[in-house]
Amino acid sequence: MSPKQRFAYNVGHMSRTANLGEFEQIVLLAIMRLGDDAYGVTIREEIQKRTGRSTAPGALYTTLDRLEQKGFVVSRLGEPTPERGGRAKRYYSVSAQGVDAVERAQRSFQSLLEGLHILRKKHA
Amino acid sequence: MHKALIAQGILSLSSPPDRAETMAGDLVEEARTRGGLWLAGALVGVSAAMFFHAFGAARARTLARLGLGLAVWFAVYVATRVVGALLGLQPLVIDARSVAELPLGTLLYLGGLLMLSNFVTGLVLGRGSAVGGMNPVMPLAMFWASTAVIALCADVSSGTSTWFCTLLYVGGLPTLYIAPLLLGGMLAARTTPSFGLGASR
Repeated sequence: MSPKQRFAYNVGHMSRTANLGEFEQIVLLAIMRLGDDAYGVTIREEIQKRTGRSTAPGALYTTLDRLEQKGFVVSRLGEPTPERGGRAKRYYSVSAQGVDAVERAQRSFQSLLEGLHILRKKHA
Repeated sequence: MHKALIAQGILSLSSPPDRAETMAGDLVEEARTRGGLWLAGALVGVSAAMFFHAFGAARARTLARLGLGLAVWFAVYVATRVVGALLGLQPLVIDARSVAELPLGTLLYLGGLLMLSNFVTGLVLGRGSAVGGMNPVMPLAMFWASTAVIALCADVSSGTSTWFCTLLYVGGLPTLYIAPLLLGGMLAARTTPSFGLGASR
């Protein structure tokens, strides 16, 4: 494959597979961990619990919206509950496309980490 | 219940009705442990985030809606000022430096005109189609809010700020411009089937 052909292939491949940002990966992984109980409040709590990172509600909702537009998550409405002022929950789940995207992103990280031995050095 | 209704009303200005409902529910649920102040901050934060999210997705349409909003507001305001001058209720041209010296009655009347023109602008714009999921009055409301912040910063940094100007930027713009505009937009949206406050499933 010539450099020109390789460039065209890479550009084509990149446009077909939208890349994930770090926060998008965190949100997708939190949704996967929560299973059937993934909605705004629990996703924020799960991120806080697992990463120690406090997430602004606005940042989470815009990210969920973007992930849904990309087809990485799907949402469904639950039943309204009194503790929410009679408002329904919006439950999220990760689509097959979303799982693929997380796997791809993780493989990229692993590939970049290979041979660096930074984790071993820190624990030594 | 009231908190949820208010939260949903505020969020529906910057997001589609079904999203506003579920986000309002989430925030009200969390506010049970975090308190009312957290809820107020979260509402401002989520509204701003959703506004910029929608703006990023439809920049040209948002700017077009802002231009339309300014044109409508200007037309209504000028019309009411001309009518007021013809009726002898206020001078047609007022020197900006002498505004603070105007009689209280005239100041209240001018404030009322500003509120009326923004409310009418909200009613006109609110009947239009949503821009990227947000109420069509939001671009103009954000413009007024940005104007207040920039003007206040410029005034303070210039070192020549007066109590009247500071009061105008801190209290006047939110009260005379933003609140009536949003109220008009929300009322218009309630009467427009495609953009009501109710749940849509």
